[in-house]
Amino acid sequence: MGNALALHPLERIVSEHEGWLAARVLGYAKDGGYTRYTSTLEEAWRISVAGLSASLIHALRAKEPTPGLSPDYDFAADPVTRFGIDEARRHRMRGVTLGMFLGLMKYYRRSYQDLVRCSGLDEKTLERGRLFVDCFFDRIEIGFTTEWASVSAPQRLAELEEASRSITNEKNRLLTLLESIPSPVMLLDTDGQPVFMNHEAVELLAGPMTPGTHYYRESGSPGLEVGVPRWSRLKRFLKGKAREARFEESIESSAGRRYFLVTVQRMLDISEKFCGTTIILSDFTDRKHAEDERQRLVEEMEERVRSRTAELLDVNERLVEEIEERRRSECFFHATIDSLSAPVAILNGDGDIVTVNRAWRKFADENGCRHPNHFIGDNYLGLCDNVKGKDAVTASAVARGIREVTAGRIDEFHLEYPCHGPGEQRWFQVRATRLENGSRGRVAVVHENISEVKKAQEEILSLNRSLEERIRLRTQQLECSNRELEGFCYAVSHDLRSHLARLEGLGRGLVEDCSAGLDNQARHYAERICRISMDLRRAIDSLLDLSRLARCELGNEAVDLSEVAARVAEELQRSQPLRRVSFSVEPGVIVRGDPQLLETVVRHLMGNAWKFTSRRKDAEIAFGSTMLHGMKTCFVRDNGVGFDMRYAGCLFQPFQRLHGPAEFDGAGIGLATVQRVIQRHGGRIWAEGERGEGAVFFFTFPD
Amino acid sequence: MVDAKTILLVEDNPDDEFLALRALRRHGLRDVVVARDGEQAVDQLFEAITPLDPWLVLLDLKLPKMNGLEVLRTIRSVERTRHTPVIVISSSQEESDVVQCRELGVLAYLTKPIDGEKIMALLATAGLSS
Repeated sequence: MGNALALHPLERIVSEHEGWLAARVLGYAKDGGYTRYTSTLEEAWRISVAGLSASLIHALRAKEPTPGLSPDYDFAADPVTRFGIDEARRHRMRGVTLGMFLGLMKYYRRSYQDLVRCSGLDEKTLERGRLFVDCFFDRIEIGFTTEWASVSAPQRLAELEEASRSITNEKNRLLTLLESIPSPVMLLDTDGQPVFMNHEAVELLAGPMTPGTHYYRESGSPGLEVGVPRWSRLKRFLKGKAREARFEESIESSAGRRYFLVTVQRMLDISEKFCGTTIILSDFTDRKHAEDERQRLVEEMEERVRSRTAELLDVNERLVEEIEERRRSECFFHATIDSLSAPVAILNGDGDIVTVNRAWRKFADENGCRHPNHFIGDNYLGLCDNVKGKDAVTASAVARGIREVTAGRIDEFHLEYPCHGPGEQRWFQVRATRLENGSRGRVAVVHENISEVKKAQEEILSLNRSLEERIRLRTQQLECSNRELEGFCYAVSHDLRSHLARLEGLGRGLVEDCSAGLDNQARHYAERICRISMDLRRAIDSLLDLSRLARCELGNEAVDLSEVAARVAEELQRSQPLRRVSFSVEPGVIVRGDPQLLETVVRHLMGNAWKFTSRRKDAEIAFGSTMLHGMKTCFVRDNGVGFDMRYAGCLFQPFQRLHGPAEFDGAGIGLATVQRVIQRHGGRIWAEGERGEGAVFFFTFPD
Repeated sequence: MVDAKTILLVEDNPDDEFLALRALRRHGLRDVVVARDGEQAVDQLFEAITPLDPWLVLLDLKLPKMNGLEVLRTIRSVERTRHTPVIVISSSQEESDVVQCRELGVLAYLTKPIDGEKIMALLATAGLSS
């Protein structure tokens, strides 16, 4: 009872330290060199420890006294030794000798003893535990050695053959497994020489191959025909100490270039002894191709993005420039229209107000138009159409005009209209001008304040009216006074002249009828009275002629002055046949005017020339025309007495004489008459001369 | 039938009448009937019991009651006197008077003072003589 209670702690300790025990045994086995022949799997060691511990706990729970080592005891039937005996049989079948197995068992015993010693139990219990463990292992050793000794030689051979078959089967299963792996796999020995390659690996490295050949090297044979790939990273790995390495390689195969992820791993046995290298290649060609394709697509995409970006940047730059240019033009445009004093609105082709100038906004503000945007965005035509009241007619006319302009039917429309403010009279001119060609182009609408112009026009009109009235009145007065003057002239011509004519007539009667009764002196006086009356009457006749010239109607026909001059020359010659005068008349001088008056002109000038050459024996008188200052100019030239140019201005004054009546007769009215006729024809007359050297009278007519 | 050698002188001013009669007399023309105004002239020519049928009329224009132009129109309007030679002897040379007289077919338009030689020359040119 006391034993049973005391053994409980041992059971707990053993069951809790299964792993510790396995490690301890493995440690002893390695130290003792046993692992060369035993399983390299740690798990196998743990399982054997578990089996022993279960046997030990079974013995503890049997509550029987520790069995003694008696010669009659049947150890083979002992349940405690059962596990040990089975283990020994399995080792024997793998070719382990009894000595080796017994030795190994010693290390198990030592490991359990170590556990008890280190368990921290009190000394008495510890001593009993040590004793129990020894006794336990003694029973197992006696059991399996007894069983081992009882096996016969043929039975032993049969066991070994069975074991060999089993191992061969196992090897074939593993080979099949490796062969069936779709990835290339190879194993190298500790010298780096290939000992195994699966079919995938051979075909990859050496081309198509019959399955089941060339991929397994029998122990001791010279080696596989297929060598290890000469990858530098593999070489480095084999020379180094690393447990594992992964790298990518590409291999040219019959199916084209293949890409692999190579996993190289050192194989270590349970005692961490290096026993070869595994190389596993996983094909990621498809993935690689997919990745390459993806990369290519990405690059292509990036290239496209880059080129598109460059294009867009270019376009963008141009757009920015264009925007800047437009902004500048816009600024310029706004500054331009803002600088105008007249309100301006720019309309689009639909008549919407696109923009307005400063003057427009100012006008709207000053006239109380509370519109947030100064009508920008509103439709101008719509605004016009909605005008009611007295301005409706003007507004609809303006809308009509703008529509004509936007439709392209006219280039410009303008209209004046009154727009009187509360305190002032105002007029505006609205002008719609097309800014762009074609229909639906933009239109500028300008409202110009023309009040000042209008007022000025009104003033001018009013002034004109009053002026006309004054002219009319003045004309009336002048006409009246002219009529009076004419009446007076008529009275003079008729009455005064009648009296003179009578005096003259009676004087002549006195001389002719009464000469018998008169002495010489009386007759002389009578004759002088006659002559003076006659001179006075002729003077009055000339004056009346002159005034009649100013009033008579002018004819307008072609007059051949040459013909007139020739006729007058003939008349003059006939009047004084004894005078020798050389006449020269240029033919074909034709002007337009009144035939009678122009004949008077020629007659007077030729008559003067005749008169003032009377003292010359070689008198010459010429009529002709010449070009002076770009104008056709007629002239009458003589080589008579001439005149002093200082008095040239007096020549054409009535009754102004440069020669005394004793020298040359004449009333002194002829040149005044000539000048009057020329002036009435719109022409000009002037004279050039020199005392004693003759004179030239030039006269022109307008074309 | 009235004396075909008669001259009708229409003249209101006595001095002019004297000068005219003198000038005519100097050329042997003594058969002269004088009318002192237009009405008298028309009376003599058309209204009298024995109307005057002169071979020449010397006519002043400025006359009382009925002026010389009216007298001339009347003369030209009557068949009997339509072609009677008329010499106008006026104080003035009003253009309108001259034109109208020419249109009414006067032998000449002369201004005073009366010039007997000129008249005789005109009559000679026209083939007329007493």
